[in-house]
Amino acid sequence: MKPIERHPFAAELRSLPPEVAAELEDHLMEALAAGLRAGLGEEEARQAALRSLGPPDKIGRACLRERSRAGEVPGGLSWAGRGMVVGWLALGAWSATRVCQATDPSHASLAVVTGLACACVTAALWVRRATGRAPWPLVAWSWTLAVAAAAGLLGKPWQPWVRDGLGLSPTSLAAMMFLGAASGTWLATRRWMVMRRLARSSSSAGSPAS
Amino acid sequence: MRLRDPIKSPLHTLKSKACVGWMKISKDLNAASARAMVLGILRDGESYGYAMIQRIKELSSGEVEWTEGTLYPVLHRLEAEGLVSARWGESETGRKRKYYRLTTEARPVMEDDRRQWEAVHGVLQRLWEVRCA
Repeated sequence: MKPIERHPFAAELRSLPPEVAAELEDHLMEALAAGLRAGLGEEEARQAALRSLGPPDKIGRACLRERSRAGEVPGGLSWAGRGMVVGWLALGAWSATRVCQATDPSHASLAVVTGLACACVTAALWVRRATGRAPWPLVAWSWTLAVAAAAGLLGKPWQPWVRDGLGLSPTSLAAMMFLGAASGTWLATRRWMVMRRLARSSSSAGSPAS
Repeated sequence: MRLRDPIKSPLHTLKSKACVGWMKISKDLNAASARAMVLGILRDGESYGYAMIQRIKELSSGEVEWTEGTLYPVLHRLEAEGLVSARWGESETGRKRKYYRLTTEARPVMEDDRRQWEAVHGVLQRLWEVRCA
């Protein structure tokens, strides 16, 4: 299959699985050619083609959703995913209670802990939606949290600041490290499985060799 | 499924008899009818996304316009359900193109769809004939 980067719609299709991108690209190129035949300028025809199709990322997600509904690609949350969502929520709630219990919390530590709690909730909500879209920002964020927690847990010079300033105990740091690493790995694996399943179903449908 | 002559369709009756001007089919109706239309197009032989959209535009004189990803999710669902099969081929310019065709499992489903749409069509036609008479 031709690398998608060489095509006029590369930017719009880059985040989609290759098979879906190739199909939508064919549509867009046909519409582009029709626009050019109708006398439109190149950019005008490109925009008209995109309008005629609709947002490619939205359509790509819808295609993956339809396949996952039919059980062809993994969709929804597995028990591991549910466990991670609950873990993140519990960690967020625990952090919030620590802030409330603190006798003299500085504004900075309050903001940081609240931010972490919000990030946990956001991550929990995103896990459900990450299957059909590029999950890499969330994977990076999860691994970053894991590394930060590990640094707070293992780096001796940071420990007083982390414990007193942020009110995070070794237990919560260990939980964050585990959940961050597990979420990132789980999301990346899941995405890889979706791509592999799609590639396999296309091969069985007679996809040409690249 | 063969699409009915637009002159005899209830929607055309609505347009002409109730004096409604040129209109687009609503998004909801488009979504509901897309599956039956896709299966109907593929009954004539294999086809691909862009060509199916053009065919529908042509048959409806531009009133049915599939945008915002109406078609492709339906095609993927039908493929996942085993009602259509797909193969990768090449366009005239050598670009990769995904062609769809009906499977044998689609025939009874299509017949069922046809009966349902005819029932709806019949009810609407009778209702509107009474009202517009």
